[in-house]
Amino acid sequence: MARTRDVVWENYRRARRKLNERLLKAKKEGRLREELRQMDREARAWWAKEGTPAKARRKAK
Amino acid sequence: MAERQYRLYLDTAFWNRLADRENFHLRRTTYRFLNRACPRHEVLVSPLVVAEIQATPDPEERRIIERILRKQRPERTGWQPRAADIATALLDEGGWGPRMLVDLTHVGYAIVSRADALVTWDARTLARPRVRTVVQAFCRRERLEAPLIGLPEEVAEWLELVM
Repeated sequence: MARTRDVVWENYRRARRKLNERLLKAKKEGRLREELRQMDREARAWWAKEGTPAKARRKAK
Repeated sequence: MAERQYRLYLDTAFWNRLADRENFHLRRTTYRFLNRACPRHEVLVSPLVVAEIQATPDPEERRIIERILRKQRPERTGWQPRAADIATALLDEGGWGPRMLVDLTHVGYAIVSRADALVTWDARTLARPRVRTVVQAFCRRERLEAPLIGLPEEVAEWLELVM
């Protein structure tokens, strides 16, 4: 019987590989710490984009 | 006696299972861990988790995870440059290939943010004995607290969390 594909796992591994390549490139160039800082900036922008649910509720009022 | 509040670093593999439309058991266990085991504890998320979720190729899957992640309002670890140093050291000590850099950076974030446990569904790469041994030895030597690394059910059992 054919094994069912685990799509969520494949998507997770694909995203992880992509991030690993980004970190490896930075490590080779000696700027791994800076790359983490850049990722933090991007994450902050993502959190700020729509805000927390409470913030979004306040905005809607 | 008041129950101790634990700091739980939830890895991307954990968050991804919330959007699993195929495997009901894994999705239900993940929801139970998040909704029953986590509310009395601190949930930690690093910028790496956000970056990986944003890189999830399926837009519907990504939308579900993002919505739950925002709703959860976890503690954000912020920029932790030491996580990079720890990841590099662990990579050398474990003798692992470069493919594990990002996995060990997650471990680095969990260590630096003083997580009691790193919760993941990734039993092939992260939640395995060799990783736990190397992380524990490293942390003992560096006088750091080693996080437990395990699957949701394992962490719930080790920390006696109700699911």
